[in-house]
Parts: sequence; C-alpha cells; structure tokens
Amino acid sequence: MSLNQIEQAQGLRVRSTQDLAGGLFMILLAVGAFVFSWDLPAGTLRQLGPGMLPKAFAVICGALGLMLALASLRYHGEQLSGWSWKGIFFALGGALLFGLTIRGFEVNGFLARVIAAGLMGAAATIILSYLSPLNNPLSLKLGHRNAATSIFALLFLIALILYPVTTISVPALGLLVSGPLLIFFSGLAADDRKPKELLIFAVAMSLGCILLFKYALSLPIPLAPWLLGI
Amino acid sequence: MKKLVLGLAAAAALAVAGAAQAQGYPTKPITMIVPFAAGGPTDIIARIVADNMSKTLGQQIVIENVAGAGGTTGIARAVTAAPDGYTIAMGHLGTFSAAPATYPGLKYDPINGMQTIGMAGGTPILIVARKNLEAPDLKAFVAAVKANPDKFNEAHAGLGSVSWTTCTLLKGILGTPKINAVAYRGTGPALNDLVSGQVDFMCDQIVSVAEQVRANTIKAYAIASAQRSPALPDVPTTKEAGLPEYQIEAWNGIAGPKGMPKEAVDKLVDALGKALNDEGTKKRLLDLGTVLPTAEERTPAGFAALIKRDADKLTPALSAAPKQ
Amino acid sequence: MDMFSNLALGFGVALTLKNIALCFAGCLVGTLIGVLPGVGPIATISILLPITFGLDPTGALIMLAGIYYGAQYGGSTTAILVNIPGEATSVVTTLDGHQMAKQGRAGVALGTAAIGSFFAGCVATVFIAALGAPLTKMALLFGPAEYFSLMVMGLCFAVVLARGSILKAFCMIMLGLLFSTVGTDLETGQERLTFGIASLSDGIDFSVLAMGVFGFAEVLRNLESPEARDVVKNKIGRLLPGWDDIKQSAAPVLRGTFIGGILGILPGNGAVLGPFASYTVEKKIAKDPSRFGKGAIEGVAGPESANNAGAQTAFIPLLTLGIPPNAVMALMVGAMTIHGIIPGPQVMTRNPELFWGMVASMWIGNLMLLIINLPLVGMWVKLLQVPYRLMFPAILIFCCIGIYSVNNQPLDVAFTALFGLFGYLLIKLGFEPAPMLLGFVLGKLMEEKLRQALIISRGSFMTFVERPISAGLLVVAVVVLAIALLPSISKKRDEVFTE
Repeated sequence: MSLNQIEQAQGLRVRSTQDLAGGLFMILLAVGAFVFSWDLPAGTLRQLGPGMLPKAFAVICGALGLMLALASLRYHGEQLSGWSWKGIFFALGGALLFGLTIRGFEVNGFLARVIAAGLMGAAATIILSYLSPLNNPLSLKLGHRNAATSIFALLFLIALILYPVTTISVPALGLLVSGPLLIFFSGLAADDRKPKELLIFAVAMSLGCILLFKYALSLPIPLAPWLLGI
Repeated sequence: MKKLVLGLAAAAALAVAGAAQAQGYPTKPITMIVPFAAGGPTDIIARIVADNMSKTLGQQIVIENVAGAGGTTGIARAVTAAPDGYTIAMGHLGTFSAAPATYPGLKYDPINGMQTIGMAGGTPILIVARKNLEAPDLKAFVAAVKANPDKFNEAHAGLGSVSWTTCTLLKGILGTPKINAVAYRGTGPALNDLVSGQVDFMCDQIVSVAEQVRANTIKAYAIASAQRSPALPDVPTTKEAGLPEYQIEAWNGIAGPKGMPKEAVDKLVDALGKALNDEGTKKRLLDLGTVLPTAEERTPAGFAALIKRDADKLTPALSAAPKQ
Repeated sequence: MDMFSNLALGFGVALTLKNIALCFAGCLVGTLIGVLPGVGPIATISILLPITFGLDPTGALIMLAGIYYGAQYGGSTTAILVNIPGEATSVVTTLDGHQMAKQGRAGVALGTAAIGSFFAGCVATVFIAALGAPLTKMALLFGPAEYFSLMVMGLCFAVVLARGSILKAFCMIMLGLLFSTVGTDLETGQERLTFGIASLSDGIDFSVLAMGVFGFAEVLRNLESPEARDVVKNKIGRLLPGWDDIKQSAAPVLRGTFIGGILGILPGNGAVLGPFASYTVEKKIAKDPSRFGKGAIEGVAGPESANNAGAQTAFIPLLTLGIPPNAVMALMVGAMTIHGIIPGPQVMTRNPELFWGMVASMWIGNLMLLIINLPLVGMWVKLLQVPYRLMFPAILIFCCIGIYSVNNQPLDVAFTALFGLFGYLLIKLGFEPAPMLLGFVLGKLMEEKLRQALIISRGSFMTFVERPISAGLLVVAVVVLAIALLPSISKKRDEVFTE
C-alpha cells in the first residue's frame, strides 16, 4: 500500500499509522533478535558460526522496518484499526485452556501465586458483577468496565497477598473435558453467541471428535485419565 | 445425534472394562519417548519393538516423538520423569554414550542417573566415500587423508548424530581433526551429496548406505564391526582392511528414570526379550540390517556395561572435537 | 518402449481389486481428514500411518499415496472454503480460490481445482514413468551452491507474487527467515533464540506456525468483523466450470503442470515453489493482473495443477534416490522402511511391481479423487456452512487436536495460540503472512546449504557464480526481481508526473 500511493512531500508527518506501526514492530523484533543472538559467534566466511545468519537477518529486518517507518511519513496508506480483545481472550484463551488441561500441568513458585490470584480475582469479579446491578460482564459498557477493572485489581492484590499458593497443578483432564471446555469458552467470543446452543454443541462436537480421533483413527490422545484411566 | 450418543456409551463401557481388568503393573498405557522425528531409524526400531512389547504387557506403549538437541531433549525428559515405569525412552549410541562428551550442559547422567532396560538392536557402521575418490582401499584412503586432511570434506547429519559421532571418532583415531566437516539435516541429504560427489566421505549406519553401495553409486571402504555383514559380504572389516582401532557400532536401547519399581523393570525386560525372540519382530528388525543383541546385552546390567564401554571409547575424541 | 511395458506392469499391479480398494479407501479417508480445517497432509499421514502396518508393502504404499493426494486435495478444499491452507503448497490457493468462493463461485473453484489436479496428475504420471531415471541424474548435478541459488530464486518469486506492498512482502520474507534460525544450530549444537524453552530447541514447528498464523489469526480476524466472515455462506454455485472458465483456465493448467512438475523433482522441497511460481507466472502474463487476489480463476487453476504435479513428481527423488524432498515424503520413507523396503535406486530394479504399481496407482488415485470430490463437494460445503459462531469453535478444536497429535505435545497448542496472536498482529499491521511462511520453510535449508557451500568452497562466495547452474538460477532471480520492480517504479514515476 505504501509505495504505490504517493503525494507530494509537504513536510514529514505520519501519513499511515499502520505502516509506521508495522515499521516500528519490525524494528522491535529485529532489535530483540539481535540482542538475543548477541552471544552467538558469527564465525568466519569459511566456517559460518551459528550467530551469522540470525544477526544478518535481524539487521536486514531492522533496515526494512526503518524503511517502512520512514515511508509511512511520506506516502499515504492504511490507518490502524481496533482490536478484537474479546476474540483474543476467548478464542486464544480457549486454545490455551485445551493445551494446559489435555495432559495436565503444574506451575510452581511465585508464578503459581500470580496465576491463582488472577483466577480468583477474575472469578470474584465476574460473580460480583452478576450480583450487582452492573450488566453482563462479557459485554461491559465503558463505565462499568472501569468499575470492574478496579474491583478486579483490588481482589487480585488481596488474593496475591493473602493466598500463599506454591503449586498449581491441574490433572490431565483429557479430551472428554478439555474438548467441551475449549469449544464453550472460545464460543463465547462470538457476538451472536447462544450459551445453551453452544453448550449442546460443545458436548456433541467433543463426542464426535472423540469417536473420530480416538476410536476411528486411534490417536493416542488422552480421553479422561482421571475417570477412565485412558 | 442418537448414533453419537450410542457410540459414546459403547466407548465409555469399553474404557471402564479396560480399566477394571488391570491388576499390578502396567495398569495404563506406557509412554515410550523417541527423541527423534517420526520415520527415522530409531523411531522405526522403537515402533517395531513397542508393537510386540504392548502385546506382552497387555497395555499399549504409546510412542511420543520429542526431538531436539541431538535427541538429548527427549531423553532428559524421560529419565527425569516420575520413576513409576510409565515413562521410558528409546535412545541410541549418541544419546546414551556420546552425549556427556558432546553436550557440556547435559541434564542427565546416562551412566549413573538412569535405569537401563536393555538393548533393542545394533547397526554396523560403514566408512563410505564418493565413487570417484582415488584411493582404492582403506589403507590408501587413510594415507591420503593423513597427508592432506585439509583437502577432504566429510559429511555428517549434525552434531550429536550417529554419523557425526562415529566420524569424529575416526578423525580422532587418524589424528586428522582438520578434515572439513559439512553438516546436513539428516543422513538422506548428506548421502545425496556424497552420491553426486559434492563431499568426499562419511561414516554411517549400514541401513542408510547399503542400497547405494550395492548400486555402486558410492564405495564402501570398511565396516567397523568384528564381522562382515551378510547384507554387504564384500565389504571388509576395519580389522581386515588395516584399521583395527576403529571399532564402533550404533545401537538402540531402552532406558527409564532411576528408581523404577523392580516389578516394572522386570516386566519391561521380559517384554523386550519376548519381542526380540518373536519371529515376526525379529524378521522386521533383521530386514532393516539390524544386528540382534546378545543375551547379555538384553539385560539391564549388560546394556549399562555397553553404554559405559562406548562412552569410554568415544569421550577422548568427542571432547577434543571443535564444537563452538 | 520400456516405458509402456513398465506402465503395463504397473497397471496390472494397481488394478487388482484389493489395490483399487486400498487406493479408494486412502483417497476417501485422506480427503475426509484433509478437509478438516487445521489438518493438512503431514498431520493426516502421521495420524493414519499406523493403520497401514497390517498391509503388504505395495498395498500400504498405494494406500498412503492415496491418503497423501486425498489430504492434499482436501487441504485445497479447506483453503478455498475456509481460507486456511493445510500446507505450504495450498497457501496460494487461498488468495483467489477463497475470493471466488466469496463471490458465490466456490463450486467452480473446487471443480477447476479438481479437474486441473486430475490433468496435472495424468501428465505427472507419464512424466515419472518416462523421465524418472534420467531426471534423477540431473538432480544429482545440484550441489549445495545450486540449492542455495535455487532458494534465492524462490524467495525472489515470493516477493514478486506478493499482494500489496513489495516492501512489506520483503519484511515478511525476512521475518520468516529470521524465525527459521530459531533452534539448535546444526553444526555446533548451540541453542539459538530459544529462550531456554525445550520445545523450541528443534526450531519452530511448521504446523504450529502455519496453524497459528493462518488458522487462529483468521478466526480472530473474522470475529472482529461479523459481516466479512470468511467461511463461505453463499451458495456454492454449479460445480462444473462453464465454457468460459475452461477457456480461461486451460493455459494456466498446462503451464502450472509444467512448472509444478519440474520444480517438484528438485530435492529440497521444490514442490513448495510450484504453486507460488505458477501463480506469479499467471499474474505476470495476465492482461489484467489486478484481477488476481479478487477471484481470478487462473489463480486457482494454475497453482492447483502445479501443486498436484509437484506433489507427484516429488516421488521421483524418493523412489529413485531414496531422498525425501519434503516432510510428507520423509514420512513415506518411514512407512517404506517399516515395511522392509529401503528407498533407494534399487527400488526400481528390485521391486519393479512396487515401483510401477505405485506410479500407476497415482493415476488411478487422481481419477478417484475427481470422482469422489465432484459429488462430495456439496457435502463439504454444507459441512462448512454451519453458522460461524459454531464453526469457529469447531475449527479451533480440530486445529488443537491436529497440532497436539503431530507431536503429542500439549505445549505446541499453547505456542500455536501465541502465533495466532502474532498473526493477528501482522494482519492488523497490514502484513501478508504467506511470504513469511515460505521464508520460514526455505530458511532452514537455505542456511544449511549456504554453510555447506562455503565450507566446500573454503569460504569463497565466488562458488555461487562460478558454477554454471547456480549462476543461471541467480540470473533468473535478478531478472524476476527486475521485472517485478520495474513496473512499480515506472508506475510510481507516472503517478509522480501526473500529480
């Protein structure tokens, strides 16, 4: 988009926030890659070391990013548009839940404490907002959102200080649980979600997947180790 | 929908029945970690052996491929797992004997820090070269390499691989570390470049090179075993060809975390032994060019001794090899 | 004449009732699984590999080959209808195929893909039969330097075919190359950019990256703009292409077959380049290149033919040299070895019935795909027509199970989610992720070959221009780049001057 449309240069100002952000993003990645490959020896021309290509690619990425960022000051292009936070939270969160629960996981130390506090805070916030005259927490309006955020922050801090968890471990739940969990949780991301329909679909779809992948194709995917031992 | 529900009910019933009948080890599927990608030599041997062992044990052995860092990632995961007998691994010469000298920061100790089960199969190592290399036999080759090590290119399948390990040992014995080592991703591409004459020689398992040697697209100087192989009866042993110091065999074997219950070890050893005595399994392994382990090597102690012996043999050459 | 007697032998083997049934079962199952979003040929074959253990080697390979084509074709169906490429080779199909589907011409797109694939399959079969042996010799002329130059050429092609800004396409290719360097260094064993994460030590997994950047990110993008959802809701339209469509796609199919067939032989995943190269060629010689990316039928016919031709000629290095040119073929090597056949030059002479039976079954398999798919297309479309609020959770669970099953690694699912976020960010920043995937696929091999070439040449960069084939490829790369850059330079000039 950037190089094709041109307008006469009348001083430099941001003409495409998308390209500018894209350029800065590339530069950020490049700098990151360069820093993290700093320790790797570049070697000689005759015997290239492991660091040669990562560094070279990082430099080129950075240079391209710089060009893109500069071009955004000269040429018109697309502007940045909004994010779908809901999609990120529910759809990717659902996948993450699946990955974490299918064979179980264990988190130790401070991270466990943070996660536990976060979960408790979130759960409490959702329950509170259901009880309170505030609207459905999944479609919080702006005013309510701030209230919910501060309630969450408060509960999070309280839980973090008072609840000394050292280990969180989730047993391997298997496809029988992780499947519906993934489908239901991620399905909440749709604007036109219908929780009842979604619940039925989650169960039916998971059963279908179990029959297809576990029985028809006999994949070694755990089904419900906590219940059936497989 | 009705069908679906019926199917699930049947599935659940089956599963419950399966769980109820089990008594003692093993009561659930056993995970066998293969530290390489699916389809490679170790993976194939693991699948063949595990298939038969599952029948003896009455529980499925699930193969899990955990590749990375020359196989050490997967082995580290297996031998640091809970020692309940439900996580074992199929490793090889590289991951068990060579790894300590190859990877300075290795996260496991193959000699003292794991429970060996037994060896599953060995494969002879060959020294092969491009077909138009001047040297007609091993003696001439050794002389040529020693005279001009800098002129030769050796191909291998990456640090920690069997071809790298065995060729580094050869270079150590010849005292020619200056030979140029050209790394490939797997022996397949390396062999391709050997066939087309881009590189000069390599050391690799008979499984990978036998067909090419028979087709005369590459030439084999020697086999680094005590006896000639029935698969390639014309290739002399290193002893016959004048380099008796170079004796090495690539093998695969099973091990698990230290501290496994005795019952689990015994049952696994028994299942491995039965698998190696089974005619069908034996034939599939022999078809691959594998040499079946001796009765001694099939025992935990015998396998542990083999690991130790080869580790002692390899360590000096590997430690001296340039890695960084 | 040899060729005909060989083919006759092959058809004799392939046309036994048992082998026809196996071929059919393979094609059907492969298509079924391949059509599921998120499960491409690699996942399909690794999932189904165990069910062939009980068969004789010829039957097993015929069935596996059927699964391979089926999954490949099923992947194209998903690419057209849901905009998720199952494998690198169907990335290009999403560009125009999905646009056609959005315009209510999904049926024609699927029909054209099936017919183009069938034609390419027929030609490729004859091609393998006639040229297998001599072409193997030619492939042997390729050393590390030639491969490196070939890949440079491939990346230049990728820049040329990119939609939108060339600068942004460059960015994506370099980013793909940068990603490809993650993982343990082959020569020294040092970990690079892995942040101490064990599952990164073997590099970023292709399926994780592809599923994240295409599957998950696509879901996120669709969620944000309800009206522009990408799963096709329009009617599929008729299946058989009309006379105009046939006229328009005949030449692209021919060219695609030729390009894909040639590139497929090259060990080193040349087959990946086929669809890209074909798309570029079609776009460049079209009278009106601006139609591309907006549902041009040539953009489906050419790449799909190239895809299938390449998929088949990719068997040549496997069957004649025993060298797998790509991940799918590597799985085939595993399958052959499990059945006691060591892939190599001797397969042709030692197991002629296996070799020629497989070649003949390729043709039969392609015919079956045509027969299976044309009537079933309606069913696929129905399957994919469920409301998006249910469709996307289903896509997610298929992707998750598929990714989990490739390596049995739960962490891979989490990584895919992370790459989904990354892909969404790229979309938001106006980057097209397809070139990144190509850069990633070629990057690993490119580094390996560069280092090999420099070791063998003792550090002389001249090796790339002194060797004639390598020099020729580099010249093509430069010419391609120049062609791509010139119009935009001149266009820009025009714009400057008119303003």
